[in-house]
Amino acid sequence: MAEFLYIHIPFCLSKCPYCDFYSIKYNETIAAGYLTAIKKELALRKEELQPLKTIYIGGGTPTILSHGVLLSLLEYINKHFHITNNAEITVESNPCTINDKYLFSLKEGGVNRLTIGVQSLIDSELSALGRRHNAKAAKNSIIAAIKYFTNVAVDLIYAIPGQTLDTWQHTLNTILDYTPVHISTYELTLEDETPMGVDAAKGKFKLPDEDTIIKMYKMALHLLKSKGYLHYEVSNHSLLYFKSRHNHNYWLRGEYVGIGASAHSFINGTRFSNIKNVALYINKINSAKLPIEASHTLSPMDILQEQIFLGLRTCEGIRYQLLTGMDTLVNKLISEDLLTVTKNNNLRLTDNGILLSNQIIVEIFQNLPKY
Amino acid sequence: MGNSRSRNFSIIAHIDHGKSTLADRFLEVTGALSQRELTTKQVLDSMDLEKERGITIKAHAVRIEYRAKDGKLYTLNLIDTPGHVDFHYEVSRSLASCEGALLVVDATQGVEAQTIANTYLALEHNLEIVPVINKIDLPQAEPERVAEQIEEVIGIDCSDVLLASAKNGIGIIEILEAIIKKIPPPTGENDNPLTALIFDSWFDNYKGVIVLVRVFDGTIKPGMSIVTMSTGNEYEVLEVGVFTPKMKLMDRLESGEVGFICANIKNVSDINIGDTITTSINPVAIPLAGYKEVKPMVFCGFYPAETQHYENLKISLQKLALNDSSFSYEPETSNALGFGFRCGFLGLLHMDIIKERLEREFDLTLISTAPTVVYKINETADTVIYIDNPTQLPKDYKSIEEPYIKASIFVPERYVGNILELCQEKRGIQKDLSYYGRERLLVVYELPMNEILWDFYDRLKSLTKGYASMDYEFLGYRESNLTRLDILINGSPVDALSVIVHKDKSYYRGRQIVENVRKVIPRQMFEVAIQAAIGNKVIARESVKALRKDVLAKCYGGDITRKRKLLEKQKEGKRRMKQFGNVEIPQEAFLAVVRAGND
Repeated sequence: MAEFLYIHIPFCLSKCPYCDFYSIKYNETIAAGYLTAIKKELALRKEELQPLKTIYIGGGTPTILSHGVLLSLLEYINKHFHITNNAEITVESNPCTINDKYLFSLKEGGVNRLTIGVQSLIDSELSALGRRHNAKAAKNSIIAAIKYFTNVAVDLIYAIPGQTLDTWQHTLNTILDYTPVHISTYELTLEDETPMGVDAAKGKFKLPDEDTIIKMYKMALHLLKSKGYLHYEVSNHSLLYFKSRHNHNYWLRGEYVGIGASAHSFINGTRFSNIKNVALYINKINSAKLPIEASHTLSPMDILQEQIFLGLRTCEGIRYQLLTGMDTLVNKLISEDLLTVTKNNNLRLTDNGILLSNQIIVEIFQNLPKY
Repeated sequence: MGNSRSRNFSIIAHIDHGKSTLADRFLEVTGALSQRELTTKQVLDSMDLEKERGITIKAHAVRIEYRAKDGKLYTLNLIDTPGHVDFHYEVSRSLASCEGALLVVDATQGVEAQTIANTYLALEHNLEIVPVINKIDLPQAEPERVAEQIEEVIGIDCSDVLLASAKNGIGIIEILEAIIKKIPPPTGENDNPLTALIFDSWFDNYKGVIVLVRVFDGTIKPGMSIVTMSTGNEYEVLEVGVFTPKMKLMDRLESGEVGFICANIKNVSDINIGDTITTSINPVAIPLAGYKEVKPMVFCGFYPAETQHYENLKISLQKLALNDSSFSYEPETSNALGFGFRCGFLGLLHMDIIKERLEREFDLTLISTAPTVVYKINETADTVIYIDNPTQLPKDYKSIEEPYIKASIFVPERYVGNILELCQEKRGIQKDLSYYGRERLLVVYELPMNEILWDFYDRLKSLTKGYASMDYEFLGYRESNLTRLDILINGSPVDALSVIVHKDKSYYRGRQIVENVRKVIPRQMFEVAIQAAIGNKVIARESVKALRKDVLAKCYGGDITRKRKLLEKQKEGKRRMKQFGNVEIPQEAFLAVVRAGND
């Protein structure tokens, strides 16, 4: 039984060339059919949900839907599900899709957290990323958002082709002027199958060198820390009390229900995902079947691996006991300033450790006892 | 003599010139096998690998009954020969079992080095050569030009050359008729003491070792006691017979005949190719000429990529050795690779084939170390040792000798410069350079064999766009100015990476190896230093900078399984590497010492 609900809106104005989430070009008719299907899936899976602590509407670009459509979805949830007091209700947006009217109606509909895909405040970097907005539009969207919401989260990307330490600092400082309560800083990661990934493999452009990227990472850490932000996950920073409760649940291995095409769920020890295709998804739902594409029931080893690699993403870290019998490795990592012991007797990665987290996690995996 | 209607012959052809297809046609037109049985393409090439590589590894002998145009029934024995350069000696023994050979040349490709070498080998054995130009149905076929080339290059009269397409069954009967007309029947007397030549053997689970022989004089019957002359071992013959190609038991093999013997022989290593069989009661005094003991020339270490597969590897090597006496293996250990085997082969291609069979047929993942030749070390004036692993080189010795080969390379005129340069670079001594035909040259060099193991074949191919072909034979040992080059990782020598090199090239080699190793060692959490050293002197150094960043930026949207699998995959990748101190060395590093440096 999950208290965390994710709804995937797989529509965008256009697909960003680096994005590997499932989305298609927005079409009003398809979107209408899809929204109906989502409501049906919610009804089908009602049993899996209990009073909701968070609702997260992500995408794609949820705010590409007209505010009326989005509100009707929220109304539907409100009507059929119990939502706890002070639940976190997040909608993802990007600068091109929001204005005062839209934001006002979201707030009226119960939304209390807005994320904005700002990515950068340098026009050339935005166009390198294939974004449709410019720096000015991004700033305006933040200004508008903070009028209606306290809990505004800004997403930024670094390691963009053409980006320098100076431009990154400029973006960070400008964002900090608005003091959003939550800032995500994602290193641009190019998956092979994305258009940008393909171009990178062909050598069509160059990413900043590793040294610069590391400096960018550290610059963000220091700058945000100096302004009171807590670095609570590999790529996430927030002011006190403003961690993303919804995302945090993923890292804590809590259960969640994902609704919509390509959405993922975790219920009762099983992780599963929905069909990654809007049309097939709608068909399945309309024949009153669950649109599940893949499912995997976790083995004890899977669970242990998850606890380790998800826990080590967070500032809380993992319980010391998870690494029983790895004293040599743990001590080596601590002495190399990659791992540290927290006040709660947990083990967490240091700033340097986070940079090498895959290596460290894999080394820990290799030392796990066999089940 | 009852042998006037029997013919023993081989087919000489370059890889892919159509030997196996032609053999299949013979079986088909003579009704030895039905069309349906032939659908599993190329009966003589029974191993998958042979089919795939298009080369014949094991020799076989097939008896075909053919009713000729003269109305008489003839017995034809087709003795198949291994089709690659490492098996020079085996080929010579197969040819020695025949009176004639078909020389099959591709009408689109022309004569290749191996064809020339094998034809000369056949001529040395006084074989009657029947030239055949195959693949005449291909649009780019130039039979006239190829015929001219055969005349010019090999000096064989091609006025009545046979034109064929084995693939489409053109000219097959004509070839069979020519075999009868041109190739002389075997001579020999049933009443003479037994003299039979062993030209192949393999292990059969039910019958033990099956020995293929050509009987020159006398007869072999079940119940007889025979002796293999090189070893003096005695056996009682249990069964004799022929392959049609199905195994068919006979009551005897007579002089001039080709067939098999089963005599309860346990190991293929007890039977030497080229040895002479005679009877215990009435032996001949002198064995047949040309016998040599075959010894592996090229050695390398085979290690299981995962240590728990050691036993599997051992069993697989045992099984392969059952059928291949030219291949040897001995357990060895390495500080970097753990427990494995030092294996010996006739040559590089033989090594590749064994390795591929181990990986494919036995489902093993292997790490192989750089191949090496056998060095002769004169420790003192009268102590000689042979070493097949660079680490065995003693600290002090008087002199060191290395094996030399005679390489015959057949190359189109326009690439000859490249080949000369390559041979020169490989410390070669030019012995001959002459035109064969109008546009092709035969380049003969004496080369240290260890240079062949170092990217020679690849360079030969790339420098001539694949147009050069090569054959070689072993010459003997020569003194040389050699030294051992050690590779150190973070200060400790990695035994499996040591090589023996010529002193004049040691700096260049050291630099190349260190660079190659650097390229394949992935960045790790700390810096890795790679050094090349002669004795205590470091002659080259490279380092792999410490890895500073390896992190999944995004982990949201709930797709946890995919992220876990990515990490799991990364872990698998690491598991396949060899732990040396705290450095992880990928498998490729162990071959990096032989890879070309000029890419």
